[in-house]
Amino acid sequence: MFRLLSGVYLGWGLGANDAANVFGTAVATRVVPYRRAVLLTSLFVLIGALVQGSRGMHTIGALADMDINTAFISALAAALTINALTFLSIPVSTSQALVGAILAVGLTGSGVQSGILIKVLVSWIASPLAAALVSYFLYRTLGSFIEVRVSSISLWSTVMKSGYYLAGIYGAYALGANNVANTTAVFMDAGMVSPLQGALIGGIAIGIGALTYSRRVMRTVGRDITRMSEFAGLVAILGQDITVHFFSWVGVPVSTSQAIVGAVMGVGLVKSGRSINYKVVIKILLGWLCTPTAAFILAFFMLKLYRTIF
Amino acid sequence: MAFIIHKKEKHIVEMIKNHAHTVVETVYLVCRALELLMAGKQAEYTEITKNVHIKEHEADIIQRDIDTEMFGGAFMPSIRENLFITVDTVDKVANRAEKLGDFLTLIQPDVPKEIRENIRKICEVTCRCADSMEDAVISLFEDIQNVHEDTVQIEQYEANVDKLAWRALDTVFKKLEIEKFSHRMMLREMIIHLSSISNKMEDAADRIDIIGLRLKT
Repeated sequence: MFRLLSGVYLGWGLGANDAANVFGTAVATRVVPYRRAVLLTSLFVLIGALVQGSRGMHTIGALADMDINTAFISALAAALTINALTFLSIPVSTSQALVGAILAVGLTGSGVQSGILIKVLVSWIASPLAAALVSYFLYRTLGSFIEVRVSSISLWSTVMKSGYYLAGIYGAYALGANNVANTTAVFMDAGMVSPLQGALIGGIAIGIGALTYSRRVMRTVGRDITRMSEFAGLVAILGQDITVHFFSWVGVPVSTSQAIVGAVMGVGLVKSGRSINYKVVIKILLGWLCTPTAAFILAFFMLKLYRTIF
Repeated sequence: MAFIIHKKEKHIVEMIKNHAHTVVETVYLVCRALELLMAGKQAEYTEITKNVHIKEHEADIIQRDIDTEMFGGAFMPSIRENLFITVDTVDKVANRAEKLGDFLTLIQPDVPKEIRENIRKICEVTCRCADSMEDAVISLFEDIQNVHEDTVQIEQYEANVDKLAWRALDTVFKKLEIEKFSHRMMLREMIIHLSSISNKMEDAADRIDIIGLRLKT
């Protein structure tokens, strides 16, 4: 069972990093206290993982045939890639790192399910675009509704505060439902755990990551988003939540970081068509390119080493 | 949850309204003191200027309570910060009224009858301006759509006060035969103190407008 630790480690890193995307703004602006934010994140990540996490697990699990050892190696390679690229300040996505590592297992073994791979690749490209579209329309519709209906600053504050709580809780749920596959899907494919056990272990690992190590990332991410107005920040988070939740239905784990960047751009488009920050777009493309490639190379060499020794 | 948050803020809203009302009372009191000074009722205006002090102090205490409760986490952070600055700016109106009250008590200027009507008009417009300021504060919490209307009115009253003050100064320096230059300077100082009250109200109106604009999505 110690082989599961690489998946747990991956889940822990995911929780530490991605909790910031759901509650970062609320914590940075002191709307939600940090402790309450991480407790809500941990709880709803677990609920999301248990209720809706199985679809993504089946997709990732079906990408390539795994045994216990290749599952361990792919999860470990993905986790190490994330650590290394984070250290080099290159934006990373756990989903992309894991898929890169699984590709190495598939291409050096019994092959890769190309249909599923295409579905995953299309989802990666579509998620930031979908988030931009969702937040653009949310901003337009919610914006005019609030301007007409909210008649005092007390009510406005109440609406915003409640909105940040609800968006955070929904985001945590969507994160659990979508991203739990990254932590234990390969082990489920290898027959080590059942889908329910996988969701439980993965959900707990992500939750512990949020509880123990998310403070710094939360503050950094939160600060970046709070440069926008409070309403725009809320819409961006909701846009990300809806997109990530949608891809849980599709059954493909996507990057919450890339979804939030897309959502922020969507909000920016409402104000000005020129608000697309091409530096950020290049950063996303760099992440798309570097993360799976690096994970693929690392997993490839780890597998070679493993097969040479054993 | 929304209900709980709203309940928490309700008390602060009441305190902010109460603060604005207390500040307006200082303006009314100091104008009344000036009226009594011009009528030569020294004992009465001295008593009223004491009341200006009391009301100003009352406003300070309410402001301190608002700050303490607001930084306990009520309202959204950006609103919180703007409300804090707004309450502080509104409080400065009371400080100005107190300053004029002190001036009247200490200097007891002799106001020539040629400018008394002008001074009365300035007081009248200043009091209306104060009412509009209170309305603007109330509108923030009751109907945000009215805020801009109220602040525009404050600006108009302030412009009127400036015109009337200029006319009074013109009379003091060009049309009146006043023996001592120091007397002219005293009257000038009194008029400037009086018009500075509405200037501070204009500053408060700007802050209130900013809050109204922040709520635009």
